[in-house]
Amino acid sequence: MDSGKINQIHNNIDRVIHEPVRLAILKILSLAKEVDFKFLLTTLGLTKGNLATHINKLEATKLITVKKEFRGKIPHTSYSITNKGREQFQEYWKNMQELAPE
Amino acid sequence: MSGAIKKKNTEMERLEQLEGLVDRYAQSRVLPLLIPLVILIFNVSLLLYGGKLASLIIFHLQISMCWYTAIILGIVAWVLLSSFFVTGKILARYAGCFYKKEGTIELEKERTSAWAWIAYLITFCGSAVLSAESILPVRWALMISLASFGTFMLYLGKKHKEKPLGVVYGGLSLAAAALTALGVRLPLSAEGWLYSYFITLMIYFVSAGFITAIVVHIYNRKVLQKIKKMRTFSG
Repeated sequence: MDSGKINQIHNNIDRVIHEPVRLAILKILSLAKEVDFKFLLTTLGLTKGNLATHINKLEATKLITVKKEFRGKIPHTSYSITNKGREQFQEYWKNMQELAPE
Repeated sequence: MSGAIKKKNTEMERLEQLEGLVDRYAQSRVLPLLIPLVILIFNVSLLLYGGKLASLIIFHLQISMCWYTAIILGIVAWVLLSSFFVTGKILARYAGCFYKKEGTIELEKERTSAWAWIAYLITFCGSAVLSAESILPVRWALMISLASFGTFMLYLGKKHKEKPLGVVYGGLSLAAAALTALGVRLPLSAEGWLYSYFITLMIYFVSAGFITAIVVHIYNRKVLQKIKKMRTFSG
């Protein structure tokens, strides 16, 4: 791949997605219909605050949606990837695979 | 820039690995299977010993024989209701409790085709009816029922995103069907149809179900350990 194309892909990289934790969150959400906060904590091993910060960034850019409800008297928060999130994530993944050395 | 690309490439491989592990972990959360198994044991015991239970209640409470019929009808009604409705409701309410501490994930499930249900019910119930009517030998009826259940479990495992459950339960069923066809001695073959077919099948379902729950749960723990080992995000 020529350096012009590499630069073009590099400039078009979505900076919100281009971060290891957020990439991992999107990867897990792209697998499922809905995932809750605890599941992400279990599988990613982050602190609650750290995970919440990354989730807020993804929510602010409308890449994921948040559903808050009560299960009995306990609050329960679950997340799902939006169509926009899925498209942008796929686009990002495709670009990164193109950049990857053969 | 190539250094950065190489680093990102390894990170992508790691993410793909994580995705695979999370998928396997989510698909192998099998402990809720214990709920229908326990209900099945309870129901089969009720069907087998319902008469004795009704007699005992009547004897101890000194009530009229009309109650005997009422208790028997109650047992039959409970068995039918629990098979079709109650188990589903209990599952929906309590299935989440088993992995509550690890959080929940809802996978995208595909719909089960009506034709698959029809084929399964025809082969399963058909073989049972034919053997009860002594048209089909019990051994062949058992073999057909087990094979149809095994195939259906493999299909359900794929459609419902519960592959490990489908593979182990389905595989055990197909193996049992093969062994039955090969002529392995049936434990209750000397008894009447109720024991030689129905109870044998129930014993099989319950024992294979428990083996599946244990094996898949161990697998689930192993996968979770692997996930915990690789989750080192600096974010």
